Amino acid sequence: MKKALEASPWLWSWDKGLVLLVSVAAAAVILETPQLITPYPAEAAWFESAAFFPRVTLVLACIAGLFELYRRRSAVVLADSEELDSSTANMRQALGMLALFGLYMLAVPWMGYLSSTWLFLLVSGAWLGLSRRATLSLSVSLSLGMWLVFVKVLKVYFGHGWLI
Amino acid sequence: MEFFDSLSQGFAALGTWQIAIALLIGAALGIVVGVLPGVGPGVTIAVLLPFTYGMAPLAGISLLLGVYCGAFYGGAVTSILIRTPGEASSIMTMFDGYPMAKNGQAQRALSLAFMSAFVGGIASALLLGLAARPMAGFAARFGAPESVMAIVLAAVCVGKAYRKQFASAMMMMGLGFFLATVGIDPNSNEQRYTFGIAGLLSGIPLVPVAVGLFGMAQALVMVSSPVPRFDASLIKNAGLSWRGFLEPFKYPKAMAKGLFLGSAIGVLPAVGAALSTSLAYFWAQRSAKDPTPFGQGNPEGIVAAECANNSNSGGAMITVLTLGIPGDAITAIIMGVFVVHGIVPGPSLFMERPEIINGVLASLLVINVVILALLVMTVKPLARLAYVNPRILGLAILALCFVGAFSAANSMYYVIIAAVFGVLGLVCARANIPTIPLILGMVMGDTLEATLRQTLGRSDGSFMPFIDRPISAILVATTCLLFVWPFVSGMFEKHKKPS
Repeated sequence: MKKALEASPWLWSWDKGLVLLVSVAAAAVILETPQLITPYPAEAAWFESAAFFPRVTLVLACIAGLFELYRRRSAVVLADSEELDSSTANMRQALGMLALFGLYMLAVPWMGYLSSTWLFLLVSGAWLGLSRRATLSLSVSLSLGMWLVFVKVLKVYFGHGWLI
Repeated sequence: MEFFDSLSQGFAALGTWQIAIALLIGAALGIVVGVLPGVGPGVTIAVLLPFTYGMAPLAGISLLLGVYCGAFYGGAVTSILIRTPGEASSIMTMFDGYPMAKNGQAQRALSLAFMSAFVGGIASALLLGLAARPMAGFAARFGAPESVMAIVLAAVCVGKAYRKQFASAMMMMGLGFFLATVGIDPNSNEQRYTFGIAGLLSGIPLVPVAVGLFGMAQALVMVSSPVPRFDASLIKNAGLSWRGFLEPFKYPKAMAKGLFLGSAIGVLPAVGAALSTSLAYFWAQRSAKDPTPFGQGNPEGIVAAECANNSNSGGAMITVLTLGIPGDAITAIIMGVFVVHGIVPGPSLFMERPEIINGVLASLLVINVVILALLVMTVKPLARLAYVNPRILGLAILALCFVGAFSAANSMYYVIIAAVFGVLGLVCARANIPTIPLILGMVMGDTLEATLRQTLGRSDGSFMPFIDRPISAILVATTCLLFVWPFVSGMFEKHKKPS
C-alpha cells in the first residue's frame, strides 16, 4: 500500500534532510580528501592521482543529491520506495528489533551461538507478539537447525562462549 | 555446430554430485522464496552468497541461478491463488490468473503459467548460448575507453530505469562507486578513506553490504509491518492440469511476444522483468485470439506475461558474461561469486574458462527442467506456504542474515557492516531512495576506476580516446542521447500541440 505525501514547496521533511545530508557529506569529503588519503599524492598528475576517481564519484553523488533535493522541493513524494514497500512498517518496532539484533551480536561471542540464537528468537518472538507456541517452536527448531548446519556441518566458528 | 559442442561440454561440466545438489537446492529454494510473501530472490541470494565461497565456482553459480529462476516460477503461485504477487514481475499474471482461479480454473491458470515460464526459461537459455559468443567476440574489441563508456552507459541506463527517481539513483550510484574506492589503492598503495580503521584497509566487502541492504532491511520491514490478510480460500484448489500444460502452445504469437520482450529487456541494465511482463501483456492484448476479455481470465495474458518474466534470466546473464556488467542487484551478487573465485567476467572468460560459460548455459537449461518437475510434484503443499506469517519469516531472515554476514569472513566486523547497511536500506526505503544502484556501483566501481585511469594515463590526461575510437564514440553518443532525449521529445511535443 503506497502512501502519498503532499509536500508543499517550502515545507521541510526528514527525507529532504537526508538527501541534503548526503550532498553536504559528499562535498565535505571532496574538500577533506587530502587529509583522508595517506600519504596524499600531491605531486601526482590529476589523472594518475588516487584522489581523482573518488572525487569524481563524490561530485556525482553531491550534484545528483542537489538535483534530487530540487525535485523533491515541490513534488508529490511517495512515502516508500518502489524497491521495498515500508509504508505500513512501524518504525518504533523496527528500531526495537534492531536493538535486539545488536544485543544478539554482543551475546554470540560471550554466550555461544546456539544459546544466544535461541534467546534472540524467543525474546524477539515474544516482543513481536507472536503466539507462545509459534515463538517456542520457531526459536527451538531454527536455533537448533542453524547450529547443526552452520557450526557442525559447515564448521563456522563463532568463538568460545560460556554456553554452547 | 559450435553451439551443440558448447552445450554438450556444459552438460559434462555439470556432471558432479556437488553441482547437481547445488542445482536442486537452489531450484527448490527459489520456488519457496517465490511463494513466500515478502521474501524475494535478492534476500536469499545475498544470504547464500558467503556459502558459495567454499564451493566450486560452477556449483556456487548454479545454486544462485536456481534461486534466481525458481523465484520467477514461485511468484505466479501467490499471484494466481491469493491475488498477491510474490514478485513485482508477477503482477501481470495476477490480472488474468486470479479471475481464472476464482472461476474454478486454478489448476488451468497454474499450468498455463508454469508451462509459459518454462518455455520462456528454456528459450532464453538457448538465446544466451547463441548470442553470448558473438557478443563476446564484439566485446573483445573493447579497449579501456570502450569499457569506461560501457559502464557509464550502463550507469545512466540504471538511472533512467528509475524514471522520476533518476537523480536519487545517480546519487546512490555515485556513493556505490565511491565505496568501491575505500581501502588501499591497488595502483599507488595509498590508504583511501580508511579513517585509521584496520578493517577498511581491504575495502568495504560486498557480502555484508548485500546482506544488509537486501536481507536485513527486508526483514526489519517484515517484522514491523502488520500481518496482511488475504482470501486464502483458493489455496486448496492448487494443482495442475495436463491440458493446461499444452494450452500455451495454442497461442504462439503471445508466447513469441513475451519471449522477445523478456529477452531483449533482460539485456538492458536495471530495467528488469516487471517492465517486460507489462509490455508483453499489453502487446498480447492488441491481437488476442481468445475472446475472453483481458483482466477476466484471458489465457493469453498469462502466457505473454509468464514467458516474458522468465525469459529475462538468460538476457540478464548475457551482459554479465560478455561485458562483466550486471543488469540488476541479483546478477551483481551472482557476479560476486565469479570475482571471489578470481574469475573475471568479460570476453576473455570465453577463451580462458569456456567450461564456466558452457556450464552456466547448461545449468540454466537443467534448472528450468528441475523447477518444472519440482512444481509438478509439490504445487499443492507449496501453495500452503502462503499462510506463513511474514513476522516469523522476518525473524528467521534476521537470524540468517547474522550467520550469512558472519560466515563470509568469520568476523563480527562483517555483521556490523551488515547492520549499518540494513539501517541504511530501511531509511532509504522510507525516504524513497533506491538502493540497488549502490550495489551496482560497488560492483562496477573497481573496473571503472582501473579502465578510466588506464585510458587517461595513456592519453596523458586527454579525453580524446573516448571520441577518437568508433565504438567508444557510439557509446558516448548513446549516453548523451539518453540524457538529452527527454528535452528533445518535450520540444517535439510542444511543436506538435499548436498544430
